[in-house]
Amino acid sequence: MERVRAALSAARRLRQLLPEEHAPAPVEFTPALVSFVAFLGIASVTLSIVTFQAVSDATTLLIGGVVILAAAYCSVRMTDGVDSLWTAGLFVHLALTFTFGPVGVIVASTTQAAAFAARMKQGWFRAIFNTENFLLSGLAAWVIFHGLTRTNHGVLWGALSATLAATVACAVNTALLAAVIALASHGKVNGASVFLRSMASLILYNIGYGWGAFGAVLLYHAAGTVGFTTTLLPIILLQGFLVLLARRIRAQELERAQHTMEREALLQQAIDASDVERKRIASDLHDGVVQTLAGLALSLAARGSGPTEDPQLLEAAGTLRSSVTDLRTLMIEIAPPDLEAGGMDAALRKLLEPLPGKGIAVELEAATATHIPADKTSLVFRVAQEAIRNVVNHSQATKVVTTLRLVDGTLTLQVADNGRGFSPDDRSRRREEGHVGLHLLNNAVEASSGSLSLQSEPGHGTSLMLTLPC
Amino acid sequence: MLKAEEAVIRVLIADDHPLMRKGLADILNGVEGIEVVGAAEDGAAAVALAYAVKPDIVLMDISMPGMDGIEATEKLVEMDSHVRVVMLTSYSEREKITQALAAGAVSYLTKDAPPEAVIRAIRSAAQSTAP
Repeated sequence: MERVRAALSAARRLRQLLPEEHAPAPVEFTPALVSFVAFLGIASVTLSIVTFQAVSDATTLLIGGVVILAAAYCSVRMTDGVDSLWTAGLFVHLALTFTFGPVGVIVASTTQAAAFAARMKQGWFRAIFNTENFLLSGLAAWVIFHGLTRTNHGVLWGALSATLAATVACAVNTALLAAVIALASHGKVNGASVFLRSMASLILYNIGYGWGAFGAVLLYHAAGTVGFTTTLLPIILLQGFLVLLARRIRAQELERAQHTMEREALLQQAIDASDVERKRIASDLHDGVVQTLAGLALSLAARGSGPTEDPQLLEAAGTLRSSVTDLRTLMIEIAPPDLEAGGMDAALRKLLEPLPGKGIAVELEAATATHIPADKTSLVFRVAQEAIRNVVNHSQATKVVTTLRLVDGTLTLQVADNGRGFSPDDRSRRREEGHVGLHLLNNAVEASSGSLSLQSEPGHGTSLMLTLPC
Repeated sequence: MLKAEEAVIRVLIADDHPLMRKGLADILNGVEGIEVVGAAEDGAAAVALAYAVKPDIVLMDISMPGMDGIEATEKLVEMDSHVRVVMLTSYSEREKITQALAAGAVSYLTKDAPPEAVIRAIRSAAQSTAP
């Protein structure tokens, strides 16, 4: 009893080592699919009965079955996201097939299908189909191998026959799988294409397995059970190593995904905090300095335009008024008031307003009241603001064309100038000097599944393009 | 003489910032035909004062503590259909300006407007009160 408990505990620990698999979508039973699987079932049972031979070595068969069960249960995904698994069980399957014939095929097929069903939570229908598929492909391999080696007992011939048999088994297995996928998808998936792609990825493994499985046959004939298991050991150890590796890779992927999420959250927090801070500064300016300066400008103007006009006071009042105007522009820059109420086009117009005064002609193409989802407005505005700021401060341009479009849920914002442009070296230098505005924005844009591209050439202007799903 | 008295435009200033109130009063008190009849520091005070002094024009700041300029404008227009409200803003908030005009203001000025523009806006608004 203690031993059973220990074995169960060990199995649980093994289960925890494996990368987690999610159950596939439920099967949609159609007459064609059910008929096909039923037909395969009848064919499998009939062929198993017709070809059945007495069990010659139950011990080795049992060892082979247990190894297949464990190896198939510990299958490893070849590539993340691809529905393809690697298991040493396929090799042992061929070894049992070539060594023991149809009875070896039956043991290998049932254990392998059972292990897949348990590990992948495939359900009974897929388990039945897998059993049929393994049986039919295994029997096909056995027919080829047995037929070719019945009269010719040469070692090289045997190895070549086993290789050919394994290739045929792979082809039968893949063809049946492709057919059932095509049927289950109501013909939406091209079965031939699935077959060719799967064959291309599996054929080399199967050639190698076939040749290696013939080694199991030779060792079994030379040294019985010990010889047979000798061939299995290295590949079982390899599978164990791969399970650990797959688990480590999966853990690293999860950690990376976690880091990405945390980085995006931090970035968003930084943007939000920056927005709050900008609004606070704008509000402080509005409530304090702007009022004071505007009031002082009026008072000075009143004094200056009294019975004895004082040009100096009037000039000072004018200077204060233009300071108030500058502050207004600054407030619009740091906390755009029209962003949500007037639409992005209104906000862009405000951003571009000071440019003609600086000798830069402005062209704006934007749909009236272009409303962008609230969570994206701030980002779009920041990009436009940074681009326009760069035009004013660095481009020496005489014209800037700004285009804003929102078509089929994709927003594009382009700010293009006819200025002096820059080379990639110039850009690197500027980044080294600490000008990282666009770099930070690029991170924020990517975090929102968008893209930011900058095109520039010395003497040929600069174009910044933002693309963002909205 | 009576006509001259009637022609004086009585202005009430509503702004929470003392320097703005003082600056506007300094400008307007020196203008012939305009008289500052009161100054309020928030919307509620502006409504109360307007009830007492019956101004022709109220120069109303939008953002004020407590009752803001928009709510005060609604109340003023409701209380006295002859009063004309000119909004004052240091921020060209399109949405708030639209709200103020919807509430009954007849025009708006930004606070960096030169004194002549303030006077012009008051005279223009006063003319719109003439029967």
